[in-house]
Order: sequence, then C-alpha cells, then structure tokens
Amino acid sequence: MTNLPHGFQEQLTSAVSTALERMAFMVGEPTEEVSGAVHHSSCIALKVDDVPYRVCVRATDGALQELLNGLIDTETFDDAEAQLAANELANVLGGEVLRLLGGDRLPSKLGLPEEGATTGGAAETVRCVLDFLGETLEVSVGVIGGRA
Amino acid sequence: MTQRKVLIVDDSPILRRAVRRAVVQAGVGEDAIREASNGAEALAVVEALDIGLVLLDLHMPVMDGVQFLRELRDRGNPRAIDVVIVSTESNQERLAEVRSLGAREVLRKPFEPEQIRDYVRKIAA
Repeated sequence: MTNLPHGFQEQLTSAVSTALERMAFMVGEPTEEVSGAVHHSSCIALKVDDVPYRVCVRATDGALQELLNGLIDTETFDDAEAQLAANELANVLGGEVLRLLGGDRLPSKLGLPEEGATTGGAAETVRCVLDFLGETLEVSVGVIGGRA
Repeated sequence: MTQRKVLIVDDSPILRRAVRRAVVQAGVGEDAIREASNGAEALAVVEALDIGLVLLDLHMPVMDGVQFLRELRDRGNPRAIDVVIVSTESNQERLAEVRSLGAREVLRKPFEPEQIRDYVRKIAA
C-alpha cells in the first residue's frame, strides 16, 4: 500500500516551483538529474496521521546563491549562509509537503531542518529536480516506514 | 512621537533578514527593528522594550511560537502587542489555537515580501 497519493510527483513539482517563485522569484524548469557539485543539503521530518515522512533538499551552490539573492538581496555568501538557505528551503518545503499530504486537516507535526540527512532507507521515495539556467535543485520525499 | 518597535522572531537568521528587509520597505526604520531566535528570547525583548508588533514563527527550538503566545497571554499582554504569525504551519486546529491565544493574522510561508509589507502597514496604520 502506498502512503503517497496518486499524482504526488506532479503536485510536488508544482508546489516546489510555486514556493521558489514566491520566496525568491526563482523560475525553474523540471529536469531529470542534478547537474554540478552539491555541497549543501538539508532534511526535515514530518508526520501526517501517524505516518512519518522526510523531505530532503539538495542544491548546487549556484541554486542556493540564487535563493539567497532573492531572499536577502545578496550576491556573495559563505558556506554557513548556503547551509542556512538549504535549511530554510527544507523548512518551507516540509510545510508544503505536509499540506499536500493532508496535514492541514489531519493530525500532523513538522520537525526542524537537519543538515545533511537523506531519504536513504525510505520505503518509498518521490523526487523532483528543477533547473535554473544550469543550476539545479532536488527535492525528495521519503516515506519512513508507513502503514502496511 | 516615538515609533513602537517591530520584533522579528524566527530561528532562521536568513528568514529574519528577509523579513527585516520587507519591514524596512514598509517604512519602519532599521533602529526600530529587533530580532529574536526563539520564544524565550522574544519574551525578554518584549519585557524590556516598547514592542508594538511581533512577527512570529511557530516552529522554533527552545521555546516555540505557541508557548510564546501562551506566556504573553498569561502575562496579560500589557502593552497590547499585535502578533502576526509567519510560519509554515497549515494545520487548521493549530491555527485556530494560535488565533485563540491572540494572534491577529497568519501569514503562511512561503510568503512574498509584499505580503509582509502589507501586514506591517495595515497594523501600523
């Protein structure tokens, strides 16, 4: 039995695209794979109706730079700021995924972002990758365990 | 007349900077803005300064936004501080709870900077 609704991949892509456009005026195109080195990632745990999930974000430095530029109007950033940007994105997208999974009306809980965690070992994973003129960002949602 | 201060409460320094930028664009001076990274720090600030508006995240370590609202209510909110929630929270039950605890508005992340500006102008008016 799946714990992710039918059409979730499309819903995820749409939610991520909308969130990035609202947060940082970033307009991306769906693509297949992350291109370029990834130095920063962040995950957030959430639970909807007692099913635990994990939402993870991996992004190239250029994608995080664009995010920071849109959020706080800065052209330069250090590693710590890039990680904070990844954490904030995981936080916002965790909230969006929680809502997609019905957490607005069902019992739900959103955790705090954690640097470097992954959806590895998840029973079921859905991902989307967006391209921003050669810089990429991946969001994956994993069902950790779930209902049998 | 001295402008009452705006307090931004969020555990993310990046988000605090993003919100600060929008608050400044709404016409609030940099020197009238304070920041806190959790509810406990925020309580200390509202005790010490003339804060008129708190822009409050809910999910924070140490003391979350709901606990902050409870503490503010239990202390009688003597300075009649307006609280606007700025959070990823979408759960209707919890949003009803924060409204019952005195939050005036809820702005869900991801927000557009214009939304923060509109809220600040509306409440400051």
